[in-house]
Amino acid sequence: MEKLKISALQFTNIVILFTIGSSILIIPSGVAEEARQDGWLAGIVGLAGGILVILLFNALQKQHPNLTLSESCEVILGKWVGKGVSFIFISFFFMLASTVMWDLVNFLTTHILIHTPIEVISILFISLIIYATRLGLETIVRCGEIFLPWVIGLFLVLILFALPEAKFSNVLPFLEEGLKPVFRGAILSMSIPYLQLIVFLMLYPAVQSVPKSGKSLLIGTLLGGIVLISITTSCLLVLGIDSTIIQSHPSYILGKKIRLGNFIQRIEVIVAIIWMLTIFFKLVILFYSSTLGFAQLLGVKDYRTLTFPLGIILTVLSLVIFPNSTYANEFAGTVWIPYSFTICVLLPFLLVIIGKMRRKKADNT
Amino acid sequence: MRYVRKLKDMKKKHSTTDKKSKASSSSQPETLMINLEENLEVIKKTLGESSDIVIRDVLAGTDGNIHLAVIYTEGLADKTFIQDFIIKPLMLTIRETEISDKGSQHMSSMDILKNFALSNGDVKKIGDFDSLYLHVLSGDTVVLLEGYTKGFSIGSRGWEDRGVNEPSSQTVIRGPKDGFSETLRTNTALVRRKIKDPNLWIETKPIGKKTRTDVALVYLKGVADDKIVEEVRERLLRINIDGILESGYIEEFIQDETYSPFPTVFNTERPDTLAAGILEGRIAILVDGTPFALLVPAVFVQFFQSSEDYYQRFDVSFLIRILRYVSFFLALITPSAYIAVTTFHQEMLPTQLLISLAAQREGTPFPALIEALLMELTFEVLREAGVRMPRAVGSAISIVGALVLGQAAVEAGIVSSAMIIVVSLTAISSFVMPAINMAISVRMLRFPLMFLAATFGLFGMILGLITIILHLCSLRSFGVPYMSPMAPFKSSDQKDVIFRAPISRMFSRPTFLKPNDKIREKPPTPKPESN
Repeated sequence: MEKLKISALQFTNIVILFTIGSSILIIPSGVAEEARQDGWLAGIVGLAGGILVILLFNALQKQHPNLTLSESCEVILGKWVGKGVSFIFISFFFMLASTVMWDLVNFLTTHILIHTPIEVISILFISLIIYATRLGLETIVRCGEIFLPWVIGLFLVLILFALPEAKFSNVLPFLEEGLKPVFRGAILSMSIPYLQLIVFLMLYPAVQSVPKSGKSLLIGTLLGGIVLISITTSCLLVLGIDSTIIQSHPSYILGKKIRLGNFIQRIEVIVAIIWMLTIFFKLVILFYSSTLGFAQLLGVKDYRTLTFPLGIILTVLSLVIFPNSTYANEFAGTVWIPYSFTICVLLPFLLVIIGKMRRKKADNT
Repeated sequence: MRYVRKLKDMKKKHSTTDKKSKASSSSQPETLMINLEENLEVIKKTLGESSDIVIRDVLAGTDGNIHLAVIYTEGLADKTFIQDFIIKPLMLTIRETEISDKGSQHMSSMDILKNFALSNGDVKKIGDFDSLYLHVLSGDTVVLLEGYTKGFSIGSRGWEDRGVNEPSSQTVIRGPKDGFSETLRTNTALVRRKIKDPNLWIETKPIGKKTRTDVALVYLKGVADDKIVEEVRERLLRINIDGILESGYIEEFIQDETYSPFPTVFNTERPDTLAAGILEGRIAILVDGTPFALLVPAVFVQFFQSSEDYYQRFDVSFLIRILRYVSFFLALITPSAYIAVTTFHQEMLPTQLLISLAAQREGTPFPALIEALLMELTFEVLREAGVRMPRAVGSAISIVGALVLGQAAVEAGIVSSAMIIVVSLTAISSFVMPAINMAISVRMLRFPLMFLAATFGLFGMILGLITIILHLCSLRSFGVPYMSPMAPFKSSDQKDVIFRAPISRMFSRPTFLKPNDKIREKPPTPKPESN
């Protein structure tokens, strides 16, 4: 484990970047598909649900504030069962990293670099991820501090320039089909960014003031969630429901719609830059946590030794994980939600309960 | 393995001790001898009877019974000074002085000389040949006496000096116009004239086995972080080289990261910049023989600050600083952005502009990358030629440059005129940076970015930029993160990053330098309410 420390503010920054991550590309169309014109409401409900989940994570963290997730698994469940459970967690991070990578590559090859081979883009991006991971967590979070103002600034530009095109009739009628579709949308939006924040349980011990870290995670999630809700809302307002659902990356199309005067138009590539940055941070955090987790699992002293082998596996996995985007959508709609709820809600919940019972037992004897 | 290594180490030790013993046996005695003639013999032998070493025999004393020798280096020592204040007193004054006092009769002739004859401020006793050579070759005058194993070294340094001139590399419109010169003493005096505080400490140490260059560590005791001072001192002690010819040598030895395009040591020719740095809690390193002084720890934003920022009104310098950051980015990404947009993302351009660009590019035979490389390379060559060529042919270069860059290339249809605009913009932007070494790193990093843009468009550019920022974030300068105070973010240090706060609002020193004394000025006490 690195002895380097990051401040609570830095932690909040990186949580914001992670929450925006790849969700900003996928969430608007997914939520709109479930909740139709009430997608913005689904986003808010999803954020509320997400906050609840984070309270659960914080409760788990409070039991062993100075241990990473995989270490506390071993303490709570004993060495071998703990190792098994932490392997499940870490493989989840790794799977998540490969799907995020797939999302990015899919996005780039559909919209921006149409003729460039997928493999080349993957290898290039993952080499950057490996480089960043080898430089260590401190460098990554500092880099996040540099980029966050850019991300927020460009995002504000996007939203402000898109507002003149908004039509409020697009989100009416309110609650046409009752609350049920809203909840379906909320569950989807919970599973895409908020549940994945469990990865920060791997980073908690690196935060300087441990008691504050829970609060920074909450604040970061809240701010990131607001960004996601506003992008979903503006997609619905500007593009309308149908075109939000049909497009696989509606927020990118949003950039195409912008037209200000006769000069600022089609700024979607600038928009793509924001996502490249946030996806980069999401991937780095996931990759860093999974290498760190694997290192702790296997008893490797320095996680840096694992970056190259795991990077190569990640490259290949991200290329083969989904054969096409239809499959990916199907997977996200059916498999992903129960899968992530099992790992990010059920398992931590059990861990909290078992931990409490064990502590009680220890207190009694 | 370990055993073998140990053996090797032992062997090494043996060989070095052998060498040492050999050297000592073959060379001259280390300490001065009683016999003056022998001493002079040794000196003549060691210095190889170099023509610039002057050895003058004098018979001093009332009866001429004190035999002594004056040794100095011609050109380094002040000749008239030596004649008037060393040789003359020795030959004349001593004879006239009546040493009748009883106490003085018990004095050795050495003390008599020191107390009655040598009316100089800087007189030191020396006892060994090593320091004798160092003093003589630094411009001091050495006086040796018959019958003593000690001699005097008298400060008589005085050589041709360029004097204090206007700094050539960092010019300002408003601000002091004095710059450092090649003499260490002049430079330390310039710093002292700015900061008249007893806590301004100047530690001097010769570095370089052959050049014995004086290197001075200047800092404010009680303000600079002691740990950083100790770290700098240690890194200076670790230097083991035959010669230091410029502060660039020192910079390369003490910097944190050797393989980085970015400078982690700040250099300046301006005493005011140096003094400002020292006042903030930085540590300055002055090197004899060069007007460029070093300042550590250095952070990224420091290279965008000019001393003039603080002499102008704060709103003006705020705007100018923004201009500098913008031109930094322009210099870094303009050519690659042009390549990326014209090759991959034509849809970003407004239609009118796209049509005019396409029309220009129609006649040019090369892809945008080759075109850009060609012109950037031409420009770099011109710039380098501009620095190296003799002044007399300066106008020729500018004519050729203007014609080649401006007219002929476009008319011949080799490059488009849009590319000329891009290249000129890049070139001009890179001159805006107040620190030349930062401008040079931008010049270098432009080229990989151009290649990335040509192969992967904006995606490649973003990858390149992320790599650069990651690298910048991983750098440290003497324990201080290079990107501070932006990352790690310190809100109290933002007064002097992009926005420069009014000086009356800059209460504290930058905290990332961990100064012992954080307070710069007292915050104004609220005025008592007038009735």
